Amino acid sequence: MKDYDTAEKLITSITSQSTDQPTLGYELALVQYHAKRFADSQRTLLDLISSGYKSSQAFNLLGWCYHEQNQPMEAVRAMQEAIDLDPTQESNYLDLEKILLARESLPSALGAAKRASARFPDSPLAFLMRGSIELKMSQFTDGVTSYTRALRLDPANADASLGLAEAQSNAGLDKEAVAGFEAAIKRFPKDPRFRLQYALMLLKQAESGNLSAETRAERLLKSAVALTPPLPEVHFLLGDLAQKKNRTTEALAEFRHAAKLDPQSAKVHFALARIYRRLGRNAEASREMDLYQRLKESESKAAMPPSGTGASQD
Amino acid sequence: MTLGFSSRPFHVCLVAFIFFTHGETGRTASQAEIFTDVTEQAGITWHHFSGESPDRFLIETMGGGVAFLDFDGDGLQDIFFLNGGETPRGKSPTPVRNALYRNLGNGKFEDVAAKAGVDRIGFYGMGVAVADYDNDGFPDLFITGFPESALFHNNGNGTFTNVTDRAGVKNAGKWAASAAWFDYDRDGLLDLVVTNYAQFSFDNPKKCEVNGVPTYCEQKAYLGMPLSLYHNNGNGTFSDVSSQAGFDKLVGRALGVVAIDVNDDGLPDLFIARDASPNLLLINKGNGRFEDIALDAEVAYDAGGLAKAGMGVDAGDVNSDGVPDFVVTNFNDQYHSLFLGSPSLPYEDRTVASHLAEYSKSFVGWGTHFVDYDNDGNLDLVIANGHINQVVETTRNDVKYKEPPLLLRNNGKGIFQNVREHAGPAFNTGYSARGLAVGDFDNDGGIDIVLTCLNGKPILLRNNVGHSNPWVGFQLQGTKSNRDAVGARLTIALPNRKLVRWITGGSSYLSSHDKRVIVGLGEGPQPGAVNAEIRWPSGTVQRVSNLRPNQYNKISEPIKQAATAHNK
Repeated sequence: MKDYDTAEKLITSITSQSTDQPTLGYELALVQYHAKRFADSQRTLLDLISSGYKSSQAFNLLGWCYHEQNQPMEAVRAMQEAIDLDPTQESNYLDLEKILLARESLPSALGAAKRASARFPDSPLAFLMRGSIELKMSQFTDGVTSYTRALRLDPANADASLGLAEAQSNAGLDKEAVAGFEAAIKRFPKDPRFRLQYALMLLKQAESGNLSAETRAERLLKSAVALTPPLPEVHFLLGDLAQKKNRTTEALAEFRHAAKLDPQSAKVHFALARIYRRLGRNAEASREMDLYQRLKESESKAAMPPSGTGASQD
Repeated sequence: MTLGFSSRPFHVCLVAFIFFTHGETGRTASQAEIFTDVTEQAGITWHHFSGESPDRFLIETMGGGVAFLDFDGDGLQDIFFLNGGETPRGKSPTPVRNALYRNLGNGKFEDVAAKAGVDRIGFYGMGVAVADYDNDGFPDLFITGFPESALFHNNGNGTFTNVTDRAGVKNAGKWAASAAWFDYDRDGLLDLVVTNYAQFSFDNPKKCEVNGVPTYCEQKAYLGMPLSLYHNNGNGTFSDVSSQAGFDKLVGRALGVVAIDVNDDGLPDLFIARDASPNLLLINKGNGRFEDIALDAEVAYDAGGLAKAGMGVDAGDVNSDGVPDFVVTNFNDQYHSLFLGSPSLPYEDRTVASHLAEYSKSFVGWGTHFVDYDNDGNLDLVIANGHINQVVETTRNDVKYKEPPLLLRNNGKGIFQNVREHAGPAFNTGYSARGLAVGDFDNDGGIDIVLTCLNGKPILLRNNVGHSNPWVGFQLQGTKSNRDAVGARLTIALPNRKLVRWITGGSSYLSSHDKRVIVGLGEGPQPGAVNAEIRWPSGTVQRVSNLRPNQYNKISEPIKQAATAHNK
């Protein structure tokens, strides 16, 4: 059990006697941050900084405090300060990228990722992060390059394998993606994400005329169900497949399962609304539709306008 | 809802006033290809100008309206091309002008836009909708654009007069895209629906980039707009009835529109294709209001609740069940959609099963139209494609900036086959195509196609195979109904099948079509003469018989009260 109150009391009690005020001040801010008292943590850090103890570590935590309090500009500025104070600390770059990503500020996140990968050319994490941003921005061929680099630097990295196959699939390099997914499933047999992403690719192929791909996709999804962590998307896709084949009861069960795993998924509630409507269960349909609309609205409020080719407004 | 007509009494009328036979085409092209690009030999030299600029205004990617119309009443389809316009930093070295190509009847066209008074407009041009709104026998032009639109009345002497202000259809402050003429209250006068796209200003460029290269921001960066509906008062003026119709509540990025009676109640309904906003299927309630049933019809979103990037739309019966089906063009990876109608909801999404998904995966689609290009009795499909961002090719291998149009042959059951190998070079060449209109410019019974291209020359495609099967052509003239007979339904009974066609309002993207209807009779047992049932927009049902194949037949709506009304 994490007893942040006690931890805070202990730190406070020894602060006056300690000769290492900066460390204790930082530890106090950290405890307050973990206790989700972001404003207190921010105040502690600002006191520390204003008394002359400026450290990269303190600015990094301050950045997260701002981020948690929905002050994105301040968060970015603090994280940038952390980088300036210690340009050798890779985690500052990665944290800046995460904060920019969280506010859907994709071009800035990519800019930070490019700086990080240039500064740390041997870091698989830097290229992994860069690849994931490129993927989000639909810059698929660039994503292939970044993930390839990440995988070369860390051949055992499951995220890099997954990202590469996903980027290849989106870049139209289907053969390479298939080879990547097949190899990765053998290498990481307990990771359901490979089966899910592979199935997604196959389902796209099935929609484009490759009929056998659908059977293989369904098998992959069913095998992913048994693995942990359970992925709501797997159940959504199984529900969608069942619905297309008019296996309504099965579809409904899968959609419900997906909703249980991820109640915030707009598309799952949309699918539930549609299936209830078809079943004539109109009250349930309109309840699910309301949920869908509400989640969709909050999604669009949260998201910055994306672009047709991955270009995003900053 | 009933779809047959066997139980209804009919007014029988022998018409068959034959006024066209095969036209002179000056045909020299190889018969091996289905369509031949005859732009150059037709003398069409006009060029579209989008005002492309470093500001990357989205409007620069979206224009290019085109219309087939017989503006001078000589029985030959002329072509109107609408230009885009300048943007603050996208200036044209020469004046931006439209073209009105008069069909000379020998395969050649002559630009008479200046003489006709339609060569220049004072705003950024988007689309065109043609109809005879005052029933004087001459087609008029409604031009959409930003920040206003315009109505040009055809004077009947080869010239047009801008009557926008008097008519009250300026649509001021709005970025209008497509428009459709349709008679929603069946008073015999064509009303006007306008799809307004998004809130927009040249003072506020939105900045997006890919790898440091400025590019166009996605549509979601622009807030949507409500539709406009203008009621024709019959005295040259229109009333804005958008609020009364409930259109003011329908806010979204609307682009394509087609007017057709989807539930067979005799009232024209509307399908609106919207870009990253849910599509609308607006049922005409008959009291001046419309109800959106797109959600129940399952045409608003895809299966995951995603509103696709709907651009163009058309309606027609692709599976010969007498019920209108819809095609909607979308963005790459979303597939262009095919929705099969049925007497009950929901519609069936046949995008994958029809192979449309397979053929359209890499394409951003715009103008589209169901056409029976080989007159086999099945509605085939033609689609204009072209990406909006030049930088797309740096992001992936399988999507190109310039994309070929699609010609898809229907097997009669709504399953399509891509016939690009035989379709002609135009279907194997990449373009930034936008507008698409269909019409029979050489009066040979083979439906021809014209496409506009962003910042490029248009493409006029002559159909070489329309004559491979017999056909029957209809030119309807309303009397009680609107003169263009927009909203009419034709049912043609063949020995082995029944074909249903509609004269729709709008359809495609920014474009307007030849209002005559060509019905391919196919290869089956041929009747000596063709019988047809016409349900006029007024509700009058008329049976015509002894229509001879391979000719256009001019048919007027019967005035006599003996005609059976079909009002539900």
